[in-house]
Amino acid sequence: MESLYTPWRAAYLAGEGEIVTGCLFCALAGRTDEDGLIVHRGVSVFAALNRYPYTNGHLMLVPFAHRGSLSAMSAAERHELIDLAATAEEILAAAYRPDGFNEGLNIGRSAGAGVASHAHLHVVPRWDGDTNFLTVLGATRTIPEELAATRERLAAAPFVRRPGGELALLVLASAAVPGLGHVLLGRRARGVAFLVLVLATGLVGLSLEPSNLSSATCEYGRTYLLVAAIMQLLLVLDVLERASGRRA
Amino acid sequence: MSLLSDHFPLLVLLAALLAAFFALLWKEDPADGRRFFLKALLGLVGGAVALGFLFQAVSR
Repeated sequence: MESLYTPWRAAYLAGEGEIVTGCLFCALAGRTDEDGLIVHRGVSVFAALNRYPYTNGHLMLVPFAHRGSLSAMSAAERHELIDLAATAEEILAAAYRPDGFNEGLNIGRSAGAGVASHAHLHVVPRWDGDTNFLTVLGATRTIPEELAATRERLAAAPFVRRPGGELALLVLASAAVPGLGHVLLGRRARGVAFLVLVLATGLVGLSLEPSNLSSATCEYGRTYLLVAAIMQLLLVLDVLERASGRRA
Repeated sequence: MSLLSDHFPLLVLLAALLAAFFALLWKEDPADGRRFFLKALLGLVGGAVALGFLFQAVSR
């Protein structure tokens, strides 16, 4: 007997958390990014992960204003919604390499809308064979990544295209202080961990007195320092890739 | 500092720092990261010890 673990559903099953009485999406926009699984807040539209996703990375693009359909949205909201859908495609493609996408709006309950009064556009990455026997026979989907990890990954992705100057500033910050570029990209915990790791490696290298050639382990000092330098270089390249949208 | 004048602790520490760095750099999911860290740590330490024995045999 195999087991499928879905630990993120425990809070739902235990009945924990706030019970939303009004519009789910209006309430969602008022929550913190972490709590609402929000990965991007634009001018009039935000992007959030679906809490009960069809596939890994299932995004919903939602106008902040309570609009029931495309025709009820302003032209600016419609334009931002479609632009954001195009950007979401690119970001999900870079992050998860799907084979295709389902994208669309369900307007009205008879069309399948879960929250009928507040229009939202689904962006669902698809892979060849993702509707396998588990889905067809057992009505069970497998999601390989925890929602919090997916949110952290996508929140760090460049939903807003960064101009060259900002890109250069991020690279400079990353080169000046290990991990600072990651902190500025919203990956705070990782940025701090990188800072600790690179500093620890460099400090051990310095403490080993690489100039003391009589020591049996004298080469380790230089090795540690060289490894710290390579780590720092890799961090700068990682920030450049993430900030320019080549990696999410 | 006496520990840091011996080859093996220095090697294990460097392997642990490298494994943690690449786990954080390459893996997004914490569980994936932990698995990668253990594999990389064992691979680096095991590989280094194996190479050490090989060099010892060759240098004789």
